[in-house]
Amino acid sequence: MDILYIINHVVFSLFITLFLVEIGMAFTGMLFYKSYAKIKKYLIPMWEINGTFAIFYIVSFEAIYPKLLVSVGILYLVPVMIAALLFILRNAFISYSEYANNVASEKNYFMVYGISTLIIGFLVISIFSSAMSGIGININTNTLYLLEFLFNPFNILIFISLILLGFCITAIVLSIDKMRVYTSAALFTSIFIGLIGTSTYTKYLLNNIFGDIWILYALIIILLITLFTLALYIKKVHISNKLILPVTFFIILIISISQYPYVYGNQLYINVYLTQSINQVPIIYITTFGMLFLSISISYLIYIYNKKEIIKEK
Amino acid sequence: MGLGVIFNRFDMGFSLSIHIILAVMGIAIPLIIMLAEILGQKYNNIYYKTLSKRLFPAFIILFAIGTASGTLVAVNLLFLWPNFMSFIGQVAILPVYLEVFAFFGESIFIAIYIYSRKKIGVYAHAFIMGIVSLFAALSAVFITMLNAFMNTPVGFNISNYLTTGNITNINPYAIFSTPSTLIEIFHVVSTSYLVGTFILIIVFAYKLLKTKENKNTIIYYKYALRLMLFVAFISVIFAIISGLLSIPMLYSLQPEKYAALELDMHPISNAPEIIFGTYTNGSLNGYLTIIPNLQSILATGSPNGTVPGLSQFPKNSWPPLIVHNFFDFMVLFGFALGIFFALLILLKLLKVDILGNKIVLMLSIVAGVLSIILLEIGWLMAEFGRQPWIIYNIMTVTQAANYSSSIIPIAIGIILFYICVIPATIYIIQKTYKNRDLSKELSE
Repeated sequence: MDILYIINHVVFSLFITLFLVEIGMAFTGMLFYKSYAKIKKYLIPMWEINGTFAIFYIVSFEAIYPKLLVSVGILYLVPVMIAALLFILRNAFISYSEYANNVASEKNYFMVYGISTLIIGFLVISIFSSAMSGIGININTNTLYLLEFLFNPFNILIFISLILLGFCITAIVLSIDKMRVYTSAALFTSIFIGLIGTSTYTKYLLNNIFGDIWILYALIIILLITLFTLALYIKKVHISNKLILPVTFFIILIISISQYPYVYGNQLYINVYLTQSINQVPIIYITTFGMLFLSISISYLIYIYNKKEIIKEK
Repeated sequence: MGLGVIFNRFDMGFSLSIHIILAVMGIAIPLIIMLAEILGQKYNNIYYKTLSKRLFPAFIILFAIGTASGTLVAVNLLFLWPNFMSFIGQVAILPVYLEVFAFFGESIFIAIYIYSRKKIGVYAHAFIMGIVSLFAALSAVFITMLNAFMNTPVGFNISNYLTTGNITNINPYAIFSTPSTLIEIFHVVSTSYLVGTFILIIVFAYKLLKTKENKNTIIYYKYALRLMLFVAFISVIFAIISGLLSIPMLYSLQPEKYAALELDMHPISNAPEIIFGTYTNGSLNGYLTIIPNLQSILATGSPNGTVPGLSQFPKNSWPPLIVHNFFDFMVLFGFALGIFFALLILLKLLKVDILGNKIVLMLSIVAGVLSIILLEIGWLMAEFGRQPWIIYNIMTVTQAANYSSSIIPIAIGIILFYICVIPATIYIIQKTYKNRDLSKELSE
């Protein structure tokens, strides 16, 4: 497996993990607005960084698979452009809500933000699920059949599964103890629906997972850790809120890497589209140093976030 | 050129024209916040302290829209010009990749700035906002590297590409040092600080003009304007120097563009600087000669120097000649900004209370508006001037485009969307400040 393939999927998994948290927070906030005060505390530093992760994924894809861009650019023009427009709406309304002058405006702005985020989520998940399944697209003619692409059963199942997962992550990250029953039910439903969808519509993926013992082991171990994290949350052991994000990241990473070396439902051999070898070394270096920079600066942000006020203003 | 490609270009141009305004504010406002915070602490000055606090909400809202508009530009690049991005991905992707981390730096340090107030020293807190400004400027630097590559492509075997279409002998690092990179960066960064600061000057000069009674508020606006005019003055010096350096660069590296900007139909020595004029029926009409030999001096360093003419190049490689008018307005408006600052210096030497003078304040607003037009015209000139190429002498705009018919409704949607979002944002910012009593904040 090429290192650039792994880099691309690590960035993808980081982006999707954080985006799922945001979708979960938007979904939870819309359903239970009373919990918004708690959600806001995490959402405010997060929404800006998530948008940057989206760009990070797009650019890493451009750098790693430049020869695939023509096909991707033509195929996904409509969903991506609509998602980009809604992205402006999302950013605008979350920032408006940050500086809203009264509770009613804050709630209204948050609702617009929430709806835009959910629709963006649906479009983004549709793109990635079609890349997994190849449903709704014809890669030979670069044609996208919009209705089939959006509303095929695989996409709907994956979307529901991920929304429920996002809801669980939110409850665990924010340690919302009152939602333990909902969270447990949502997590089991999410896993069940995800498995049904994957095994029915992407048989090659299942074959890959069962064909490579290491992927199978990794998936089993990570699912066990997920259940263990849920148990900790139910028992109100709040270390679960630190475990859930890495766990989600590894679930997504393992599933996405298990597609290797094909995309679009086993139709397209991805390695042919890899960038020339001369570009690989600088991409690896920039990614490594960039990730190091990100880790240090995000650690500093967390340190500052948890630090107590020490200075009184003159 | 098909209708789809025209919409591609319009969509890209429209999105960029909005984004560059937001981007220059994203570069300049953090610098002003940092300087105000430092000055406020150093002189224990409540006006500067209040300025740093009050600018921040506007900055955050504009940053939110700016990141989204930047994302839309990035998405536009890939989806409207897939062949172009595929080429860039193979030859010149590194600065685009680095820009992502600059963007991350900006986002993360904004969050650090929010949460570090009262948790670290004031100078350290101000320094964090300086880092935000630095990362914002770095983003501009990296994207300008891509633009420089589009003007002066390097880093692969060009002749082999033109004959076979294969990209060979790639040097991915060459994009960091194309012949036009340094000067373009110098010009983009200096004009970003200039225009970003001038947008604030428009608002503060207008507010000062409107404020009649509250003395404390008047002093606040004067302190703010003094700081902003100082930053704009320093920036304009660098903007003029970098602008002048761009002329010989164009002359040697993009002669068609140079000839179109100056409307030189034939190569000529002792070339005068002309303004206005149109080229019709094979002759140049309606132009004004302002200074003899000036064009030759600026381009070649000698009054006898020969400048290129469009007749040296095939007509299908000429940029649209409207770039000459863009160039004229750019020079005239730039000149007007220079005069504005010269006037301020003169009044200062005469010990006139500059900021107490209504005419100066009105002129500041006019200068601010001119600076915005200057920025937009400058970009239009740079981009139209490279036509028909998207990558000079390598790939045309039509070769790069996505020909999907879906682009037309999407482009219309984007334009309508911006028409709603930008006024809404201005309204929300206004509403935010209406509910924050300035005089109360100044007395706290």
